[in-house]
Amino acid sequence: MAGTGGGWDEALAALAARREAGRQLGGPAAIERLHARGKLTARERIDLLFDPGTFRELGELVTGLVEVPGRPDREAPADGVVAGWGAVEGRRVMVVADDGTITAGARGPGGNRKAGRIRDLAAQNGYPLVLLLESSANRFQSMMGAQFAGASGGGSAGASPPAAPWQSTGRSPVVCAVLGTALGAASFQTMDAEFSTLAEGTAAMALAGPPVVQGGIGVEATPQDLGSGEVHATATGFIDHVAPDEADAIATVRRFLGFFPSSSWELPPRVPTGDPAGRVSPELADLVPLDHRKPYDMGRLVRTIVDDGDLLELRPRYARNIIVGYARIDGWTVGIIANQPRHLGGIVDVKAVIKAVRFAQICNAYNIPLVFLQDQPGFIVGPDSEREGALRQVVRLMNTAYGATVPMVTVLVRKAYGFSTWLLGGRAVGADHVVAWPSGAISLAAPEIGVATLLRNELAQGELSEERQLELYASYRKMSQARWAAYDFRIDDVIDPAHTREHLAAALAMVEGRRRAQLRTRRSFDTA
Amino acid sequence: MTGWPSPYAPPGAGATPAGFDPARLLAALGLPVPAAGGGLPLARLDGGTGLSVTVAAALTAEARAVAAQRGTPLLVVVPPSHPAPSAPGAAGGAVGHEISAAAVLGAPGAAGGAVGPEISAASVLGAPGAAGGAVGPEMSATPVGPWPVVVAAASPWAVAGADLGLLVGERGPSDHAGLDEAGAADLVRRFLYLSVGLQPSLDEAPTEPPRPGPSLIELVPFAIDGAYDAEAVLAAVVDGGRWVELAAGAAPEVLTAVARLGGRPVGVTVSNPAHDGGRLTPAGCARVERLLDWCERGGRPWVSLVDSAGVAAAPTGPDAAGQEILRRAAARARSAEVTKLAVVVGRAVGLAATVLGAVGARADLVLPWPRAQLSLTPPPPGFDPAEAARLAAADRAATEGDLLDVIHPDETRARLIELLDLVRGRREYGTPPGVVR
Repeated sequence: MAGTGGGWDEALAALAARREAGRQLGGPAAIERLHARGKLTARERIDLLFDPGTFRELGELVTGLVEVPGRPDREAPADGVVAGWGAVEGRRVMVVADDGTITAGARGPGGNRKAGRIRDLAAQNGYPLVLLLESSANRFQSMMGAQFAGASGGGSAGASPPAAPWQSTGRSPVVCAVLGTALGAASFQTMDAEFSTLAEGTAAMALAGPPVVQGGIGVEATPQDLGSGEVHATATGFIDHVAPDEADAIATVRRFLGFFPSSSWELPPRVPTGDPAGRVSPELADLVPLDHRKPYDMGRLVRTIVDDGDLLELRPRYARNIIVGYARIDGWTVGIIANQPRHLGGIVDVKAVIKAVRFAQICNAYNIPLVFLQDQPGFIVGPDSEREGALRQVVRLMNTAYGATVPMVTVLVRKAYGFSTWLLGGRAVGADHVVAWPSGAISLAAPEIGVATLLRNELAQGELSEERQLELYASYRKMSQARWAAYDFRIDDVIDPAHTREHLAAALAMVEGRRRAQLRTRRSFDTA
Repeated sequence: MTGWPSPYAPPGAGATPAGFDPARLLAALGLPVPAAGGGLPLARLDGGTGLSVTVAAALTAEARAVAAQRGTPLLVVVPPSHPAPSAPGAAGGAVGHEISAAAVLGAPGAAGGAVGPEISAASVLGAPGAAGGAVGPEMSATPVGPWPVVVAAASPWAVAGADLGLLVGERGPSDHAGLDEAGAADLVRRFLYLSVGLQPSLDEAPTEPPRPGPSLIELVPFAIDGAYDAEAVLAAVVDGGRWVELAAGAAPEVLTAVARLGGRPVGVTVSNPAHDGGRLTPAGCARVERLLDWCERGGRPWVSLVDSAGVAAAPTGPDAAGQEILRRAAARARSAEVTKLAVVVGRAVGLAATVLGAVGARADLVLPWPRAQLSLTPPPPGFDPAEAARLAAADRAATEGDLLDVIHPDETRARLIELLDLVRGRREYGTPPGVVR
């Protein structure tokens, strides 16, 4: 072009040819190999992500050079990264998609600069950023030797040092879809993301990959051994949504974005669903047994009261004794935190707290009201949980709950025992609206534990007959009935379960003004 | 009516020795002549059909506060009888950042003064010694928001201070010399309509097509040294091909103007390579800085069309003092908290490229044309020009990811409008701590 001595026609033709080369990525053979592995190209993924015809690419002309000792150099169209912006349900979203047809999705320096610029634009202008990740690291050869000292994980368009990924947490959502073997920087970004998904079978996430593990500690392991979807769904809980395939992962990203505001300076979009706010659900009374020891499916209860039964549940196979997820009530986005009596009786253990705290912090950062549905016997106690660090996690929950500025609305469905009653949306932490079902019971402890604690000596000496114990349990159960709390306004009301949805919708409408007033407050979250 | 005589003489009777007549100006703007003691009337231009303005006889804190409260531009038409300031320049400065634009109509010898030690209208216009005056002794830093202030002053001394956006005079140092009241009123009217940003959202803004004419690749030859008309390029980019130039005639290597793009008010700088290859002089830097002030005060984006071969050589260019001005202008361009979009039309060389927003100015995006060349310095004597062009070619920077695109010239307007929409949240949203642009 410039300096070639030609005219406009020649220069513009060269420009068009360069763009076309960039669109071809690694070429037909490489694309075919990718497809054979059940994977999509960066451009195919972007097509799934955005509303049709809305993608605008930036950095299409960037071209890298792959240099491997002993092999001929080859060009890397787009330098391993396709980036730009488009619309999801009409709202602008930035994207960085790694190209698996070039060096397994590793980036060259130009691709890295491109990704950094898109990230900066998203952060500076308050747009969500979706990272469709392959390996997403810098190319190995570009990091070998002392040049590693000057390399960066995310890149920046200017000569200035790049911003750390956490600097945008709590400002505009970052969404990571792990679609390849995400190691190093890609896994760090995923840990910091507001939402993460991973395609089961074709993707994995770990701190280091098999060659490094083999070289470092002499252990042979596949990427799946190190960080498959199963590992992160059940053992670590690091991934919010493990998808059966890439298409589902990307569809879930779209679904997530629909619940979220573009930035923490906005309210989430209210999307009328046509599901009447006053819809009555008489089936709820049959769903929940009055006997506190009998399990039921809280997930079904949640889906009954939210709009169209649509709940985007996060980490469903990790800490199954608590449910967290996004839904809508009368069109308002809400964050649901609900104990699941079907698993461990809904007890609040260390993993449950970890799951709930991160979720509550993200909702708080993005002005998403929290809806708590309590049916829990309290925090788990005992040597095992103490060794797991229960105390630290309980304090994290306490700090999160007391520090939350987002509205909280709580339904005490059945048992609400212990300090967890306060910390999971109780009046003590400033919940805006607390109601109970007639089945609700509130106390410092379950009756059995109360008797065992208060009359420990009598029990030990056999002075408390079984009959007397049952009398005491019955007495405590009566004292614990939620209606007593309503009589002196320690909770707002005792409601008919069938009208739960209507109550929640009214409460959410009531707090909207407060949410608007708090829009300019930045609230961050941590990674754990 | 209070019974007090109007401070304004009947049209024609109150002209200064040079013939400037504030009452005629008001008439030409279609505004009523305010009565003495009549307060701060709210009126609409063009006989009640145009833009609402607050009219005052002096630029006082009260006038500015009232205009801000009303959300209108403030038009100050200073009667000939207004007392002269005790010390020229003493009260004209320190207006702060609140006023985004001003139009000043001055008689011969008038000059905007006290813009600050680093840049004054006098320095822009090359009239050292021109009196920096104040419109009134009561100017203060009362916040008024992004509403323009227009000052029409009949007396030689009575010109605006730090918040100059436009100087219009009959002759002498001004943005536009040689205008009569009708011409000046027309300029003021256009200036106000272009700079009052009532359309913050592209969705709500009427997007006026550019003036019909030849396409940009017909206007600009591909050869890097080919001559073209910078104003024609600007006309092909901005809405309706319309703009109001600031400091017209000063520093002809760069044109600075107020315009609209996609309905959005923007400040524009356009290199003029027909004048010494667009090489920047200290006066050119001052023009750019003044435009940046205007952009920053009103939260208006800065759009720069760059084609500058660098910095002008002495005597018009940088001696030691000139170098300092250039360095400071570059820092100003870099630090300005406005949306910055640069289109590299031709050359972008050295410090001039920074002052013009193309390199190292933390621009949101830089879009070069295929003919563009970017370099730190001009090629040294004896260096192969073809090799220099190859090294400086914009597509090379785009290949390496230092620039993120090269655009077809005829897409310039559409791409700028699209990008203005993309980055519109930046000023409101702010820069996250630690993110370096």
